[in-house]
Amino acid sequence: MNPQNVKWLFSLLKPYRGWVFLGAMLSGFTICANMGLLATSAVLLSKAALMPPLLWLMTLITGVRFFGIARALLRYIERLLNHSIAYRILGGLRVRVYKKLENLVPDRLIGYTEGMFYRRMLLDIEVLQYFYLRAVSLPLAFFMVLICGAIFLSFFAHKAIIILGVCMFLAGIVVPTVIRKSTRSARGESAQKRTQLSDTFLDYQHGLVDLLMHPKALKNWQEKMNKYHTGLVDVQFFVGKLSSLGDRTITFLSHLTMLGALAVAVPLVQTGRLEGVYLAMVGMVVWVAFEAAEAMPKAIIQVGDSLQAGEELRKIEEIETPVRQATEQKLSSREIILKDVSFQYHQKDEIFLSNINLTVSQGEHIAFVGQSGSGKSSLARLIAGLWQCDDGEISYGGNAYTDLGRAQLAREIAYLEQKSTIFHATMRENLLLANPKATIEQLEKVLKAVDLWDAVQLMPEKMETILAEDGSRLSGGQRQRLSIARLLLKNPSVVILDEPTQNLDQEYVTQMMSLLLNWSRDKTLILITHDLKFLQTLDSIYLLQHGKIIETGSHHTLINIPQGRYRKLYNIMKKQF
Amino acid sequence: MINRNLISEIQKTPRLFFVSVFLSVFSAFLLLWEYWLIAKIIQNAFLDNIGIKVLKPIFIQAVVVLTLRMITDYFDDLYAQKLVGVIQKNVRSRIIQKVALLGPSYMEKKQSGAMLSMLLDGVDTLETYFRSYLPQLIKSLLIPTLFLLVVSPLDYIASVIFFLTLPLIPFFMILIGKWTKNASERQWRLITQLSGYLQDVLRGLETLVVLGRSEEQGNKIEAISEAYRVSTLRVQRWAFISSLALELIATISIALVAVSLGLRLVSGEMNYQIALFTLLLAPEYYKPMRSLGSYFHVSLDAEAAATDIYAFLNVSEELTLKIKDESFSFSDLTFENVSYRYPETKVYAVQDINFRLKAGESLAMVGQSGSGKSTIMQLALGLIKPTKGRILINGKDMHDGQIGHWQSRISYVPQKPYLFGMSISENIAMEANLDQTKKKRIEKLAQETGLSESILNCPQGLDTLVGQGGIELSGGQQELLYLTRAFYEAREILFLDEVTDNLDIISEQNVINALNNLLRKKTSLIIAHRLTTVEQVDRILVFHEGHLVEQGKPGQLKAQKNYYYNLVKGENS
Repeated sequence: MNPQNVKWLFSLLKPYRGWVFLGAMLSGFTICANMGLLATSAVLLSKAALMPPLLWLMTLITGVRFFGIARALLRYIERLLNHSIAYRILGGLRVRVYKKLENLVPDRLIGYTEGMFYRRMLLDIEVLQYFYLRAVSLPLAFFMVLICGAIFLSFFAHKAIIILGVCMFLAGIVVPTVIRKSTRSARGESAQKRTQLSDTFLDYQHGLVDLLMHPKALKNWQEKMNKYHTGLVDVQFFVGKLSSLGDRTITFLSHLTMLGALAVAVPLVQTGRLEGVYLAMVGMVVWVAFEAAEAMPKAIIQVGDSLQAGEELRKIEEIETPVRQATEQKLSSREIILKDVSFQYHQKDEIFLSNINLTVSQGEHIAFVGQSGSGKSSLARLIAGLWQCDDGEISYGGNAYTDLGRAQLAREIAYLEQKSTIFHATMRENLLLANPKATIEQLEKVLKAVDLWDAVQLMPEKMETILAEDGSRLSGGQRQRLSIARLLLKNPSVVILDEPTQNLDQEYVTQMMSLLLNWSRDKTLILITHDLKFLQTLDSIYLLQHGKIIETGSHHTLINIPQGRYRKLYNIMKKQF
Repeated sequence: MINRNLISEIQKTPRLFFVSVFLSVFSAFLLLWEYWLIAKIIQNAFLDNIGIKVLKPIFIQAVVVLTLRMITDYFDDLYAQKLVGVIQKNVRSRIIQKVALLGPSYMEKKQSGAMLSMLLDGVDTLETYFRSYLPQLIKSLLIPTLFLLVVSPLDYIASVIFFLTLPLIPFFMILIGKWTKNASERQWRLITQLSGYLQDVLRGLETLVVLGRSEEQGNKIEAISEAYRVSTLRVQRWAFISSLALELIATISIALVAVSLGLRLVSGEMNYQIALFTLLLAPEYYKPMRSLGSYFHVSLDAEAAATDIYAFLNVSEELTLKIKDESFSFSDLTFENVSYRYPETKVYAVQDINFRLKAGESLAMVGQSGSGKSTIMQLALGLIKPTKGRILINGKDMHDGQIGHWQSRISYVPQKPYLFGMSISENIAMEANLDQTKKKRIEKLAQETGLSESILNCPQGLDTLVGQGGIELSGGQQELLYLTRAFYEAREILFLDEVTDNLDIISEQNVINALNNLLRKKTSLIIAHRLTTVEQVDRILVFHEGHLVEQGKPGQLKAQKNYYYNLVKGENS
């Protein structure tokens, strides 16, 4: 158990601490009411056995009824209260973790799988509810009951206090701790199996076509998943076995305590130090007190699990976040300046970009070219503000990127990603993401411009058709054109096009390219491409190789450098077509 | 309350279930015995003033009975847990199997986050159903009956109270259950929605950032979380109220029993030991019903999840995949008046298609996007089934199950390749943990196709991890990987949906060379985007708006000055 982690989890609880305490008190009272019910009942019977006048029993009868109703009501209020608090905290946490992720994305998270995010955001947070439902209230209730029981017994059979204390300690603390310790590795294994299962299942779902083509691989994958999930069940069986053992031990202890308390009390009755009418009550009280211990093993395990989940979340929380300004800055110009910019993938040593110096003035049209892996896309992402450089500085209109708010940057600089995500939402919603204020006419206009309008009309619900995950209702080419449509809905000063013709069907390449070039005419344009066809008209071309700019100049300057790399590439291309 | 689908799971392993029920009843017997002994101890000590020494054997007896009961309960748990395990394994395997049976065209419509939460969390909720709820349901019927049988000859008034109050519990439960059912189903839907939404947002976080919309998703998550909280609480409030009602009934009944016993003791109609015994039993009598109440909302969750799971498992399969190994030598693939309409759409994607692909021949399909080429490819692969017409392999209908392993004869390079979360070479071989010989072979082939050259920037070469958790490869690199796989597995037929990306010039050259090599050797069906590819094939099929409008050699088609001619002209402009 990491104290820092516990501290962090408790810090989330702070705003609600009064309520939490109240909840714990209520759970204690619930059990005490039950004790009261059975104790008064036992005394009632015992006194009645002596056949006193009926009137003498009236108080006891009222007591029995009171405790009966109090117990049920208390329990109801307590549960409602505790759950309400827990869900509130979890909701807050979900937002908090998202904001953190959003701030980090994506440069610090390279190497995390999609499944991993998902688990953290959803499952880990879900598991945390047990921390807030049980970590505080149950131990508090446990001690409260123990103390109440002890005080009560001190009036009747104080020797029974020791039995109660020892057995409750064993049942409420020792047994659960032993169970937790002995199932710890198994539970770790189960978490790991879940991860493996979900990662493999995602692969299985997305790679289904390939797997169907390879029956042997399909079988392998299915077997692998079957191995994980049967492993998961086996581990759960083992854990279940041990927890059942723990539960049974606790029940055993509770009955043993009752018998023990009776064994202590019987001689007291004989010697006249305890009135016989209270004998049954002593047994009852001790027995009921165990209700508080019975919930402990499950609670301790769940709390342990949530601590682990909390640890995972805290890891995200602790990743260093770049400081980002949220305020709007005044822009002195629309000029982008990169000064000694270096970037490397985190968790990988290789430097992707080193010492890039470059100025893009307003309205200038430039291109980054080079082979895959030469760093041109990384450069585009840095300029788009998606990634942060490790060294050097990028500024826009006289402000360093770190001083510009995300929203402002996204408004100024539009970036057409290589593979823009299509969300599981309607066609309209997917478009409106780019510009929530766009009118239906505007949507129609851009859809017509990218030649998707007819396709949309053929969809079952037209604009309201839900595009399935990653737009799988659309072909690759249509997806790309939808991304272009999204871009056209914005009105930025700077446009970055990262391989805009990628994924397009051949017949659309020229059409989309001229559409985009035309649209960017009065804007600053940064074009990233393999295709050297479209570069003739640009102001300057930067040729990248291994993360460095090796040639700069306009198309005509570059093709005239005798041993130039650009010239060489251009000639290969000319030969091909 | 009792889900037929879930019960049918038990019928597969009835033995485990019945053993568990038997043990519960046996344990209840032991409990009665133990309380009888305790009541006896108190009676003897209190009223008859008997000393501890004389009572010792009764104490010992009580401890023995208690121990025996604990052992019984332990085994009872074990059997219940085992039953759960068997069912969970079974259901998960079936879900996994079903995914493959439904095939990619169906699965693409499903949100992968929702599927995942069905497989993991949905099946998990079955545990509480089978381990807690259902045994409790049985116990709540058997144990009170047993108690009544024991108590009624001893004290019939208490047993009348017991008897009359017990049905109130299921009555209220059913009543409340009816009210909560809808809320609970909504709840499950909301969880699925929340998880799907989060998955979607996380996957597309980068796009959201780019569009400047990532910040406000925080608010949306907050809103959904809040809706989730409110709805969960609403469901739980009902659950809590139901347990409040149950608890009230139980405690008031206990109080009633206690008071009635007391009154009869006063009037001397009652024996103290029996009264005490009955009082001790009272909480135990209501316990199974009460626990049932507390598991009740869990069972609703499980049922809601089960509704989803069985809906998925019962989707009728469009495809019948025969995984049987039949050897046949491929001679031809024939489309006979094939039409296809995607589910939920009105318009045919392709109509009345007739063509034949003979062994050793290579065909290229061309046409504008949306002309039906991809649908033809899917049909030929057997991933979807014709709405009308037949597709024959060696003259036999592909979907009659006559032809086993058709798909394993084909190397398929899709336009949208998917890389598995493993190394590049493992992706080529489609298996993990390759031995040295296979690795060597892949290395050699990767050199030949130019894959090795194109992945020079990958830190560990062919051992570089790609896909989930790994590096993302460019379109060209991915296509080269798939082509290398085609060489590696050396299958007789090649189906290729060319990557339409602008490949970088070096990759492009590599791809073209690799492809030309493959085309020379294999029967092939290609969706062509590059003119250079089309020049290599035997025949071109030209598609237009779902119809096959022209076929023939490239030169011949150009001379016809019709569809193909226009396509070529359009591309060069």
